[in-house]
Amino acid sequence: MLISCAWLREWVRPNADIRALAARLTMGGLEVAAVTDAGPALGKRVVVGRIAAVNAMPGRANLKACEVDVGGRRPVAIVCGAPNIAAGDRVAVAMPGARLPGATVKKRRIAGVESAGMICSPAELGIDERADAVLQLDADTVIGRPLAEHLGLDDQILELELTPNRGDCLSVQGVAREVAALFSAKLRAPPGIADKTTVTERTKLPVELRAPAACPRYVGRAVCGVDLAARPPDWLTERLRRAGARSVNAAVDVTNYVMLELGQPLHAFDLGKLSGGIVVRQAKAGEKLRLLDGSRLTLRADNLVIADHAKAVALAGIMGGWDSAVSAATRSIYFEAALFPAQAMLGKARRFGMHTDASHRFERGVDSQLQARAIERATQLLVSIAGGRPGPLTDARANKFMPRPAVIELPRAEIARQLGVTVPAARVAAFLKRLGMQVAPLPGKAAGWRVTAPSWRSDVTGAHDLVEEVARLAGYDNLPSRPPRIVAAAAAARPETHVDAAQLKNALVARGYFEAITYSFVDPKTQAQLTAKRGILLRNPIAPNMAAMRRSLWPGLLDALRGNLNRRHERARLFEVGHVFRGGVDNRREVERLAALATGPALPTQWGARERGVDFFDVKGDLQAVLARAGQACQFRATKHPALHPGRAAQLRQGGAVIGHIGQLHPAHQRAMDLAQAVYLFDVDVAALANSELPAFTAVSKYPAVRRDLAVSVERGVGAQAALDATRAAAGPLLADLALFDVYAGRRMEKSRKSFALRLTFRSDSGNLTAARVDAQMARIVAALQRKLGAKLRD
Amino acid sequence: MDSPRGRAVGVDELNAGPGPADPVALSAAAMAAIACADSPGELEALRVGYLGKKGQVTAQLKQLGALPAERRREAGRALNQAKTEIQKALEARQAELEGAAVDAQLQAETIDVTQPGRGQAAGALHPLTRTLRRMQRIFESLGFEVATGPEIEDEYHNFEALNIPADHPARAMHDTFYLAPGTVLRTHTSPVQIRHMRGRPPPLQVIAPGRVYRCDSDVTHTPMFHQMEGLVVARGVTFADLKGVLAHFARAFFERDLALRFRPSYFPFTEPSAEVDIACVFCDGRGCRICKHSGWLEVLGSGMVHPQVLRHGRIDPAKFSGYAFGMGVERLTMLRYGVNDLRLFFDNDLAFLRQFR
Repeated sequence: MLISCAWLREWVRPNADIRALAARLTMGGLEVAAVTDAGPALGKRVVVGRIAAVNAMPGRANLKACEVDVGGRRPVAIVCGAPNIAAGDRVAVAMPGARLPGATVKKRRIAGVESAGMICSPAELGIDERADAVLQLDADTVIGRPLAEHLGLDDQILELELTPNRGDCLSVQGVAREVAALFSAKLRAPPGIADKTTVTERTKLPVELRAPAACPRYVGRAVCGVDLAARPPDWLTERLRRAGARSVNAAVDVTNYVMLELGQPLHAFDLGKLSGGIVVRQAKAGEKLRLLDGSRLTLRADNLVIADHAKAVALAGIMGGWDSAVSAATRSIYFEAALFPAQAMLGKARRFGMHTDASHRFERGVDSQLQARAIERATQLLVSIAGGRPGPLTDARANKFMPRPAVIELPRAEIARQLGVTVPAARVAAFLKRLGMQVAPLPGKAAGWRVTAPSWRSDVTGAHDLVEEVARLAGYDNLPSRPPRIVAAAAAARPETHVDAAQLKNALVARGYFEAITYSFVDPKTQAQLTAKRGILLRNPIAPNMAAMRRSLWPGLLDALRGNLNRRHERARLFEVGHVFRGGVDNRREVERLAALATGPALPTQWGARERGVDFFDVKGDLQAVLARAGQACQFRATKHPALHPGRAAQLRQGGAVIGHIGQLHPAHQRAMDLAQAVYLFDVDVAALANSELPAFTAVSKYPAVRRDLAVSVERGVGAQAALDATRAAAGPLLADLALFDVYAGRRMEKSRKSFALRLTFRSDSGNLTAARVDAQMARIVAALQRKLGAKLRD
Repeated sequence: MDSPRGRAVGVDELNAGPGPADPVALSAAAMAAIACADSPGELEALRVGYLGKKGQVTAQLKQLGALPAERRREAGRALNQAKTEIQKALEARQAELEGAAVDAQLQAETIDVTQPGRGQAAGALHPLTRTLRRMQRIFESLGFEVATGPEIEDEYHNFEALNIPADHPARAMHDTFYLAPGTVLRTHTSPVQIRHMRGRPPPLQVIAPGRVYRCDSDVTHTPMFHQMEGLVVARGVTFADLKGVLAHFARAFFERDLALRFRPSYFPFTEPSAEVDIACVFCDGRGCRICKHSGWLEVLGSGMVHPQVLRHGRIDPAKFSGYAFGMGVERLTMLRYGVNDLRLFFDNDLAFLRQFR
């Protein structure tokens, strides 16, 4: 919302300069995003001139030699190429030495003719973008007067960012009311604005409100015999320009002006194109309507239209129709100022992809008492510009559906209860009165007020709204602050055994992983390849490759990896913790997962370590470090997974449940994603790791340990886990520690076999272990390995 | 090793000497020889030569018996003194030689301590995680607990319960991602307020950090970002509490005595509502490019919980009051570390992530 300060000061004159005004508005809740000048400083060398004569230039069809009266003793000669120049026109003339935003004007010869200045377009003057024609000025403008003076360019424009609750501030009048309240200044409407129109025409249209809830009031008036070719005056078009509106013709300009001034959207129909009268009704399903902007709508039954007795002529509160639009040829117009309550207007324009000045205001609430006043103002302005005979005012109302002013009880204690401070009663009443509220004492014994909100503050409905108004006028910064205190009993501390994601993240960071945060939506195609399903789809994704809610963190991490490989980071270790979305929209499950990937050298470049690529067991070690934080007993079991290499994939099991996966990215995906090197991935459910076990002390043995190594060969299909499990089971409680310290398959072995080298540590709590006892234990283990796994003892 | 003490007297020379020698001279000769000994072997030979079974001192002690009784006593004492002196000298020299050997070995074992250490280098948490943890720690120290909620929300929790009915202009400000009619990606962390209020009776004092989504993507908007919601509901909670907590937070977070300002604003779920600006941390409020020369940076939205929202949370607004706030985690992170492009947070470029080790 752009507000000209000069226009605003016509209504209210706070004792404040522009900076103080902007600061107070901002701190009052009407945020001033910017303050800009209404135009460049043009100085006194840009003046109003009158074209005295226009002479053709031989051989130069597009140039004219003009004689321009600039208030001196004789006209000056200026060569001009603009198409819209005629003798008698008042124009803006930049004299030699004038500084325009683009350049300083000099006397010069153009096509052999001396040109002593420049007739300027709005673009050359730096006040508008229009560059195809010179700026035309009012016919009665004083010749020789500096243009800046004539247009009042010494003005600033406030750019307000209004919140949606303050529809009442979408006009000069509304902002002026607010300024008056904030500064405790007097609000005065400009002279003449409230004048009643003298009716000189009998034409009157019947108005019928067939949808009174959506339109409880419709005010209309015919104005006959207007000349819409008449030029609106400079002061009016200049104010429109400063508010961001463009001059179209007298009728349209007047409706826009009144909307900007008072906040009531208006429409002007070509009266000659309306048949019978006005009917405000719901559209018929499938009814067609062509709008002012040329768009053709097919309406639904819940659209409200303004119709004549033949057809729909406007989309109510949004835009007028094409067929009944005014043009320069229009002789009689019909003004509309209606009330469409916000409730009925919400979302209606957006359903057609539209957003207009009118719909913006109606959706935020328009003052229910404004309509007749707006029509009177528009009539007055139109007649002054385009002449015409105003008809009688038609004010159709459905009183039952008219908004009632809210009457609110505000107990005095409520203010202290919300703000933490007691505001003196006199101040509260004064604040509320400044805002146009009627304030009376609360009936009964309780201290407080009965407050009636003004018709323009439809956002004020309850005591909490009044508390905010009091706070706003008092100034939030003047309200007290209280040191922090604990108001709720401190939550019971998490159990010691609880493992949160932060601890898991720390484990991975310690092992060289970087945390990534990737988007929760991924490419459905990639996701389908990696997880066998596309996932829950967004109806309005930002891009097709961000259309599916992730079922796994892997697609996002792989995407991040690809970006890093493109940036030549050959070694990457990334992880992410976040929600994944399983199932369908209706039976969705949102689960927190931890996933990681690693690729490139196993270690950062360093001396003394042979460089090798990261492999499955490096990453498994990292995953086990995470599991160790959680103190969870988990098993790895070979598995198949659509994302993973079929021979290098494992599921992570906890009891009977699969809580994660680990493996090498399937080489087919690796190729498809254009990744040069093998990638290892894991993924685990965070909730499954949330509970660790409380450490329980057992006595530390005083007796020495006995260490034995054992090498056995097994068929290649036998897993290390099976060998370790069988060993542990057979060894019994004396086995204090067991480690696999070598795996060998190769030339010194039968082709179908491999060997495991195990290191066993025995220890007893009750005495020294004898060699014989350990030997017996070892024999039992060997026997068990033979029996269960077909293992053979190696030498 | 050259002896600085002049000519060494060899053992052989001593052994070759005739008759009983003067113990003082014997001791002096032994001292000189010991001082010149360069190796444990030489030292051992000297020990044998003087103190061994056939050594000179031993031999002379054996000869004492042959002396006249009156001289025997004094000679014995002199000899024993010489023996003790020689023994001490041998031990001292022994220790000296051993020390030198150890020193030599240590010298030989010297390494270049400036060579880099081996193994994995540390990774890093994402900067947004750093900020979230820090925010959480500050609020936990004030007695807040952490609440969470789903990222796929229904319109009721995301909008209606928060006083944002369908078609409300405030909804247009939330560019919402839809998954199905009535099902959205949460556009803010505020729905956690409703879930938490319904989940337990007041008093409540929670924060709810998490991801939120808006269907918007340009230089200053990413379709996903993070917020931290705060909610306090109890008897007697006022706007003054809100101001105090947020001022404490801002000062704790930025580790300086920042000026704050509270501006009236509008959120459908709070009233009074306030936007909170902090004095620009880059120019200390003097005005710079980052704060658009205003001296202020907008960092969060807040307000007293709207009575209708309390009712939706099944809390009686006549008995309880509350405040709520919502902060942009990306914004705070950018201000804290000077990050100048929002999109960097989701590019996951290792060159960026490494800066937060």
